This record gives sequence, structure tokens and C-alpha cells, in this order.
Amino acid sequence: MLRLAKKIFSTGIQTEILPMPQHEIEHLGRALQVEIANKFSRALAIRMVDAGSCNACELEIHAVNNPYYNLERYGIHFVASPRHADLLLVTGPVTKNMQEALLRTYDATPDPKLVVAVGDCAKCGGVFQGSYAIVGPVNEVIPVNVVVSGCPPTPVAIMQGIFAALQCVS
Amino acid sequence: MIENLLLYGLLLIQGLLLAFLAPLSIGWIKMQKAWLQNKSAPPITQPYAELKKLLIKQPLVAEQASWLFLMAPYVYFACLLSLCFVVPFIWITGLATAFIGVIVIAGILTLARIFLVLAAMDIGTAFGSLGARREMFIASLSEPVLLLIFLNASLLTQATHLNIIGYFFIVHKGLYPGMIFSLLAFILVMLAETGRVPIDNPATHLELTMVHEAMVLEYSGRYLALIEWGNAIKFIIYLLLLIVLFVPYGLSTSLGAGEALLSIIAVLLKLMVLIGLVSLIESLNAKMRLFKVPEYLVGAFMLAVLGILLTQLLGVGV
Repeated sequence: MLRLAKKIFSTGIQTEILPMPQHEIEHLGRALQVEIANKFSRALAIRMVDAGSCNACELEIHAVNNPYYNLERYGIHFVASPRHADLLLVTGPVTKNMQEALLRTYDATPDPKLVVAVGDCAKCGGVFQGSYAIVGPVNEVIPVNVVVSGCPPTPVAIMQGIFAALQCVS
Repeated sequence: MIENLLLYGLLLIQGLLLAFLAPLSIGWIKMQKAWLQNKSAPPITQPYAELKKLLIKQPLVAEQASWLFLMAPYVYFACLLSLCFVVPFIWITGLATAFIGVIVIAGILTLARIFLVLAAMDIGTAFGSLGARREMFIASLSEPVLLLIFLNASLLTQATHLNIIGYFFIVHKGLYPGMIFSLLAFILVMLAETGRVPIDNPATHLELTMVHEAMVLEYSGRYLALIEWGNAIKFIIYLLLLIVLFVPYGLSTSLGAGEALLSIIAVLLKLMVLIGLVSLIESLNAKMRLFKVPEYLVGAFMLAVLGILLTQLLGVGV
């Protein structure tokens, strides 16, 4: 326990004011704060739905919460239930088994709500396009506000997607 | 007459102030925990933003929900709000401290919990009743300890009201060996009752490890806002109970403005330090397995009993 404490205090705050190529993230963050302030009064809750993904997108979404990207500093956090959520983050081609679950999750989310489809699979089916086991891209099952492409998309792209979704609700 | 009215007015304001400041304690502990994870933190006022957002969202409830499910958040919040007028915050007494003793405080906390548990089972989902059963499992072990801690303080001070207990410890300063054991027991119980890390994780998304969160999964909108606000109040009430039972020094005992100002500074400092300690405990410990919880709480029980034995052996000594 003492070693852990020593490690924590010697490491210090790791959240970066990111240098050149990623400085858009800071800019993005400030813009996000204004958007969230207007529409969700500075707090946004996200529910993740895996509709049949290979988990690559999940790893990138997980990275959004790490000390470097640290989405939580803008007042955005992940929640355990669609009833607590404002935004659904859907990954993967929608498989036949997950279609019903995705529809129910969408119905269980209180208004106003947003949907962001993350990854090429959610966009068009990706490598699973045309498979007998999938229903199709996310927008064939529930209305989608923003699509983030990439296989898998980077954490910055995911944050941009969330930002874009907030812009389109008005 | 005028002086009495002034007193009641001030005590009313004290209770309301406590209720409105409670979310700050959650903001502060989240900030500390973010720093301890080497992250930068959201602003300390973040819980207010969350509450405001929940109030403007559509309150969506399951179609099987009965009146109990819809009533429960109001009862939960009302119970905890009533305790805001009981625990001393700036002045040594609250508006209702004189007729609500420590045993009734434990009772009101239980009433709040019972309603949340019933509501969680009402909806019929697997996770709701799982959370409810875990909550009662923990509560049945932690409440006797809380009562024993109150008993020890009452034996020492010959009183069952927080204002008299606090006043006794302010007047008769000194080291009470029995109370030290009670303090250790109280810290263990506080972590269990407010759903903090060794017992429950307030930030978890994993259904299998949830206790409190599993009970409120089905709530949304203003119902959830009331429950979240109630949790914040519950947390700060436990901290204030700790302050008045073990370190009441600085609490204002008269109506003087200077003394009140000093008391505000003292209580805010104490709260900041205590919350800092709680966040440190939370960050340095892993969550306990559910079946280890009885051992933990039996440890707390033994400490509480030891405290009473020491009080009995050494006598009150006044």
C-alpha cells in the first residue's frame, strides 16, 4: 500500500495539454464544454452498447478514460444503465442476437438522447458486411446522429464524434 | 420571544445550507480521487451540473412500476433531508436535535434504506433484487455497530441527544480511550454505509460488483436526481456525525457572530480533511469480496464492544 502511495505521488498529474498534432483535443475540449453547458448543463452521461463488435473499438473507447485523454475532466462520464444515459455509444455490426437488445436499450434511454455509432462495422458492416449473422449497420436499427469511422477509430476521433453529436441536437 | 424566533430562523437556515452544500462533498471527493489517479479533475461544482441535467431530462420508468417505485425516491430524500435539521453543522444544535435522539437517527437512516430496497425489488429485475439483498446483508451487520457506538457515547455523557453529547465533549476535553475504539469502528461503518470502496464502488459499471448502484439502475430523470442528492446528504451526515461524536471542538455554542464564523471555518476544514482521508482510503484499497464483508463488519463490532468495555472499566471519570 505504501509503495502504491509513493508511486501515485511521484507520478503526478498525467493529463496532458497535448502538443501540436493533438492540440485539437484541447480546442475540442473547450468547444465541448460550451456545447455541454448549453444542452446538458455541463454534464453528459454515456452508455456503451456493444452490438457485436470485435472489442477493438471498446479498447479505444476505454483509452478515452485514461489519464492522458481523460474525458471526465469535461464532465462526461460513463454510466451503468441506459436510464441514466444521455448518449448511446454503439459499436459493431448489429448482429441478429443483439438487435432486440439494442432496440430495448434505445427505448429505455430518456429524452433528449443522442446516438453515436463508432467504427467501420457500425458505419457499414465493415468486414462482416453481407454476413448471414448480421442485421446491418446501426442506422438500420435505431436513428444515428453521428458516425465515427475508423477500424478502430482513435480516441481523438471518438471525442470528435461525441462533440459532433452534441452540435446536431438543438 | 424575538430571540427564540431568531434562533429558530438561524437553525432553519443551517439545515437548508447543509442540504444545499452536500453535493460539494461529492464534488470534492471525486476531485481528490481523480488527482490520486494522476488525472486532472472536473470542477468541484460538477455534481450540481449533474443534478440540474437530471431535473430537465424525461423521467422514464418501467411499465411494471407500482406506486411504491415512484414514491421511494421522495421518501428517501425526505428522510435524509430531515436529518439535515438534526446533525449539528455550525451551531451545536440543529432545529430538531432536541427531540430526535441518536436512536431515532439510526431509525430514520434505516427507513430511507428500506424504501430504496423495496423499490429496487418492486421492478422485478434481476439486478435490482440482487442489489437490494446485498444492501440488507450489509445493513443488518453495520447498523448494530452504529447503535453500539451511539451507546458508548451515551454511557459517557448520560445523554442521547447529539447537542448534549457534543457539548459534553467540548466542555470536558480529554482523551477517552473508549471513544478511540468507537472512532475506529465508526470509520469502518461509515465506509460500509455510504457505499465507499472496500465495500462498494460508487463509480462502478460492472453489474456483478454493484451494491448501491444496482438498486437505482432503473431510475431516471428527477427520481435519480433525488436519489443522488440524497446520497450526497447521507455522506455529509455521516461525516458530521463523526465530527460531533469525536472531534466537536470549534462548534459554536452561542449565537455570537464571531463564534459562528470560527465554527464555519473549523467545520469546513474538518470536512475537507476527513474527505481527503476517505479518498485516500478509497484509492489505496481494492474492493473487498462480498463474503469478506461480514469479517470486516464483525471487526467493527468487536471494536465497538471493546470501546464500551473500556468505558465501563475506566469509568466516566468526570
